Amino acid sequence: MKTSRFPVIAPLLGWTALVAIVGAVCVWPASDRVANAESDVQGTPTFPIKNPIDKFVLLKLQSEKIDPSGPCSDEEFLRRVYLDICGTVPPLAEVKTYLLDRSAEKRLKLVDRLLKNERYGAHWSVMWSDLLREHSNSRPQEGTERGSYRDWLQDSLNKNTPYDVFCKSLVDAVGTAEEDGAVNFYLRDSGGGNNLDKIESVNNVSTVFMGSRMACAQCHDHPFDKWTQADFHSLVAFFARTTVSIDPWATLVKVENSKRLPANAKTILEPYFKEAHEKLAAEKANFKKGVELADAGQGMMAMGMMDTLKLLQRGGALFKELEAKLTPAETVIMTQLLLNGGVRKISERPMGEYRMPTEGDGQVKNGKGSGEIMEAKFAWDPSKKAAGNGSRRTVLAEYVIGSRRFAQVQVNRIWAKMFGHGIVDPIDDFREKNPPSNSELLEFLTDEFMTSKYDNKHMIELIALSSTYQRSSMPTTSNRSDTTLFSHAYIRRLTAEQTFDSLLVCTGKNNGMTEGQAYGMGMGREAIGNKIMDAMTGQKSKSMQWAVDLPTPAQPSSFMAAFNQPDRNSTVCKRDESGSITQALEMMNGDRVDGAIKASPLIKQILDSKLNPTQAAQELFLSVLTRNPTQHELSTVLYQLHATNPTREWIEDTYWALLNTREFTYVR
Amino acid sequence: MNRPMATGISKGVVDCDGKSGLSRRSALKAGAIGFLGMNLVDMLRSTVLAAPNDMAQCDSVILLWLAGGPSHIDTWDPKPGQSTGGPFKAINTSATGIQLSEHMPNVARNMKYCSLIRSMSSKEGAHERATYEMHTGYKPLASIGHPSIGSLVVQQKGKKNPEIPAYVSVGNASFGAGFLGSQFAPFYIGDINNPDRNLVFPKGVDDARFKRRVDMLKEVDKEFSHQDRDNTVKEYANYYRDAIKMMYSSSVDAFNLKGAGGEKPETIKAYGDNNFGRSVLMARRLVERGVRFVECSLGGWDNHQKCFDAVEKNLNTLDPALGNLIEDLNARGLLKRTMVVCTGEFGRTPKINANDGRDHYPRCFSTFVAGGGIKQGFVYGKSNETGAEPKENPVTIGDLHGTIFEALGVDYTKENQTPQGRPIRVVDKGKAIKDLLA
Repeated sequence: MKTSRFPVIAPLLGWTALVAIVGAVCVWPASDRVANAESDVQGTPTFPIKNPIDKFVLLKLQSEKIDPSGPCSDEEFLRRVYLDICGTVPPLAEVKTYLLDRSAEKRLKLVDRLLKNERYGAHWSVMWSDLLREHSNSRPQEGTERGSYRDWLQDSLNKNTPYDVFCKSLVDAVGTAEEDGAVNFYLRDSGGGNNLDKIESVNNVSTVFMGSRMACAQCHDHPFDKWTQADFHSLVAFFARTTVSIDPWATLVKVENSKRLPANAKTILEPYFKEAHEKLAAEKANFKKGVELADAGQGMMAMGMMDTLKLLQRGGALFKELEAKLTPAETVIMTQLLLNGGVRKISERPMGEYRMPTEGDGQVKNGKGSGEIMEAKFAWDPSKKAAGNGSRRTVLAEYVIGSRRFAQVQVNRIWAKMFGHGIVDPIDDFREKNPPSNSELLEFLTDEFMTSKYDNKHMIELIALSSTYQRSSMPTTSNRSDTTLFSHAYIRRLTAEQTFDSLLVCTGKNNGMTEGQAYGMGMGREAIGNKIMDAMTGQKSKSMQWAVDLPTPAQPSSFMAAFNQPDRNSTVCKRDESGSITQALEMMNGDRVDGAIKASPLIKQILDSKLNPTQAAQELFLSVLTRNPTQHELSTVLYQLHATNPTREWIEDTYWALLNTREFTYVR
Repeated sequence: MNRPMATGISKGVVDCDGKSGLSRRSALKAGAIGFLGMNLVDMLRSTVLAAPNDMAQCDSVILLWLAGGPSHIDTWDPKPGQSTGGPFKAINTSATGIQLSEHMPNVARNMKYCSLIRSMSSKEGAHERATYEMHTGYKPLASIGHPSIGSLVVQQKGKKNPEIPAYVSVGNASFGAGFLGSQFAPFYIGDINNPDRNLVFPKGVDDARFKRRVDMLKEVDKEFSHQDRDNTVKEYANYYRDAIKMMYSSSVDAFNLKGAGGEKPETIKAYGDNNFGRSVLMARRLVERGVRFVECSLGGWDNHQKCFDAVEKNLNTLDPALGNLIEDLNARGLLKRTMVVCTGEFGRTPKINANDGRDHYPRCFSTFVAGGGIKQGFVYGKSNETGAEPKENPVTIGDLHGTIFEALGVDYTKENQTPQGRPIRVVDKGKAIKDLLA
């Protein structure tokens, strides 16, 4: 992280005193653009200006004569920031410690710690999986190479790979998924065969990285945006030379390492394995990222493994030999390994052109210029073109990351994720007629992001520590109808993953170690996930995991799908936040909730430690809602206890009631 | 298992049997249902709303989904004597001039009420993409999530019975509601043998305890919800209201094939007492109670190897369920308002491969259609001698969708607006097959 923190010296800005009053510690921006700017805006005790975000929001609110809401409580902040950065509610132990902490830097320390936790990458990868339509349970030939995409995304996020590098790695990815998970950017759209759907590659770049909805322009000029059909297809031309092929050598190495490989077959294939290793080593030595020189082998791209081997004039003989020497069952295994298990590779040919589709090619409606060779032009700045034999995708990646829009889109996305609404909203709809609600704010964030060298975590931290983020969601008379200027925190729904994982956290306690400790130690997700789940189910189980570790897309009848996890067929920039009967039934009667409640170690703890009913109720409120009960709530809950001491049934009922509140399912 | 007792108030939604009065016991239950703003008066009103609101002949659809792509030649379009014909014999049916595979005696017996399209043709040969296209009428596209046909039917026709979901999907084949939003998403039943898993109380909970829980919930839900922060927060409570209403609704007895109000053992047996048979029988019960669209899924049709053993086995499951569904719907007078569609995502190659299997084949395949506005004992379109291509009247997936909507009395050229403002037609390019409509 590039954050440089130092307390409060900004004489020009005039907010020094106010910041000093609240004793807050600032996260200072990396750029000096704002620090040098004159400003007449003043914070107030309830709206201290902690960093320039607050200044720009306040200026805008003042100009619209809207008051900001007051600050949120520690409880609200803790829950909100946990859900936003790590994707779960805070565990009980953490809630208790945090609420008792009297230090002035507690919020800063918390944010810092959460950003270092591995749950950060796990949680934010969900957003990327929605955007890039990550498909972890597809068979290799129908989608990604089994989870390598998600691993790559989580890893990049946790390592805090600079966002420009992240984007470039995806756009100009070459090789196999085993070498580089980023190639799933293309494998994802290679359908059942070995054909890249270039249209989807354009959608990825335009929607996800450039915030432009260009899809309409595939078939006709965009009806209400500036894009022409030619713009769209000039972008397709950047992918004209991208190919998907089965890599016979990588496939053989994979077969060699397969646990299912019959011993007999191993002997027969020995010479092939040896050759494969040699070829791969040679390839690696000659490998130049960007363009791979065309050789005879490139002709294989559209064929499967069998064809490839046949091409080498040995496949047929090999299969005969295998069939003769193996049992029928072993032959079946070999067929599966060799034919269905082909390792796919993304490469870039040095030549090849893309032509405007013709009327018969599907959805093209006006067929302007059909059949013409399209020049690779960057629609957002058509003077930028790709020529020559270099990788067109590398050129495209440079154009994308070199544009200011690219940075704007990402800071706006981070903002939208933390506020429930973008400064430009919808977040993939940047155009003249959909201007930012606060352009000064967006420009500041963009400068800041670029100056910090595209540091995602820095931006998250800057936002999380602003007064603006730390507003209450309680509206005032003047800001009640505001939905775009961030005068108060907007209510947001928990996602399917947040719901599932929060359920784990607020009903779970592992043996000997609190989740808080595990969080603090940055334990790997599997370790803590399985521990919690072991405690929940009372048995050792590897299959029970955090939501983000489950295969996607989820079965439509599953908990995840019920809570609107997208099916990953289309790019989703904002989750469907609506409820449904199915969700209510899952929460009230479903096994997932009921099982979690019944297995909660907290119940046993309450019973064993002889807590009185009030103390027990407090534990449950802190666990589920991250706050203590009000007097009214306490008496309501105690009213249902028909005994002197807490009973298991009463604790379960209280748990149930709290988990079914709207407060649990929303972030305020 | 503790099951919420039906209050009786919703009787008469479809099967009006006069039990409309509120018993003391059901009034007591209404306390729980009264949760979050829904009072007794609302509940009574909602039952009145249930009167049929249109006179179109067809008002419900049952889709029997054959996942994996069934071989058309070994099922609906036999080619006896051809090299591509496979080992099955063709048998005559009750419909003059229509022959089916020998493993479909039950369907054959009822074929005079049913029709076939033998010239279906598409271009999509990968399972997932083809399944998407058959369900939505569109090819998958990153920039848009298209709604399944069931969601569109519900959106266009509305709910008939407010107490239960209008679109029910058994198995996991359906796609969701896409850009229409989750209010039009199917109610999924993952396990047919536990169809009402979330409609019954968790273990150890009974009616009284559930009521205590709800009472507690009402109070602890106040602090947050009374702050009037956001409309969606208010709306969320409606789903709880509707969910509880559904739990106590008499209509959910559709899910219970056995026991009081259930089916005779011989009926269950006739449909084939297996998962698919039970789901098809349940589909009939759901349609009787006013559900608009039901999908039941039968897998196992992706027969690249040993195709004929597999198809025979699958037909032994499909045939009794489908045959008896048609017979049953007809006997109950429901066939004329219920369309039954049976199809997979594509057909299979006429050529039998080296492993005695058939591979994916979208170019020519068949779809079964019956009831709700469809002609009886009719074949539309024809494949050539080998079953390799449509010889007459090729039918696209869009045409099939158009036909279904036409029968339902829906203008399928209408456009829906996506949240992005993109106009998307109910059916992309297809046209209803007028010849197939009664």
